[in-house]
Amino acid sequence: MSRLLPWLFVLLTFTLGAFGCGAAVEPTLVAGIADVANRGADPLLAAYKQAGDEALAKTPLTGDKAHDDAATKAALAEVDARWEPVWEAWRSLRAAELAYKTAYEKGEAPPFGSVVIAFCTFRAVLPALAKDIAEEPLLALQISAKAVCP
Amino acid sequence: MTAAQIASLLSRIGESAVSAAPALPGTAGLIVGGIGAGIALAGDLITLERDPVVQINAIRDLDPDLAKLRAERERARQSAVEKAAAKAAPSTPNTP
Repeated sequence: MSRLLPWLFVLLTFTLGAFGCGAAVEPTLVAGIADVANRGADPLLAAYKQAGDEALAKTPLTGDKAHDDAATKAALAEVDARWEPVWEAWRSLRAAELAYKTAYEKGEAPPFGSVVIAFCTFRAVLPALAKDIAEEPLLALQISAKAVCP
Repeated sequence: MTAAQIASLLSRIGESAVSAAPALPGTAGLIVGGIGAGIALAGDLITLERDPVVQINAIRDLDPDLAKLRAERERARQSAVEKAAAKAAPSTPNTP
């Protein structure tokens, strides 16, 4: 038993070390997620605007005001329905990040898991909109997702 | 757990490993001592760095931008419908 004690100490040391390193990495990852999301914000808004413009341009106008009114509204509603999951996931991610930051500043246990889930959910809704989104922010989000998402 | 607490913990773990290393048999002592020194160094480096919390930027609130975009889009939509209606409307005969 006495021969095992030093090795038990080694095991305990490395376990605690790994735990400490993991905890230190979390804020960096959360900050990275916030940065990459913020970098993607303007391109996402631009892509959403472009999708709306294209939907309007593709809607044939007859000159019948009531008909055109309904047709253009329906076209834009279709764009909004396609994009709503993105905005919803964005709001969830923002809320999770704010909750993490607040808890971290107060010295409480920050909810890292909820940030990761929110980010991966946000990332998961983007492929459906790949044709609407500029390549660069999508690529940045994909790279980040590889590091974070299961 | 704050970054300062983590750094302190890492430093203490590393220093404990370094001081306990000579008690370990053979090369294990050297390995544990080396790794312990590394862990202690990591803790010291984190202490020297700024607290990462200040680097967490809040994610932008996109709702005001979305509201603005939708208002602009609605104006463009109405304008397009009005123009189409005006174009299609029969021109009034210019008779005396």
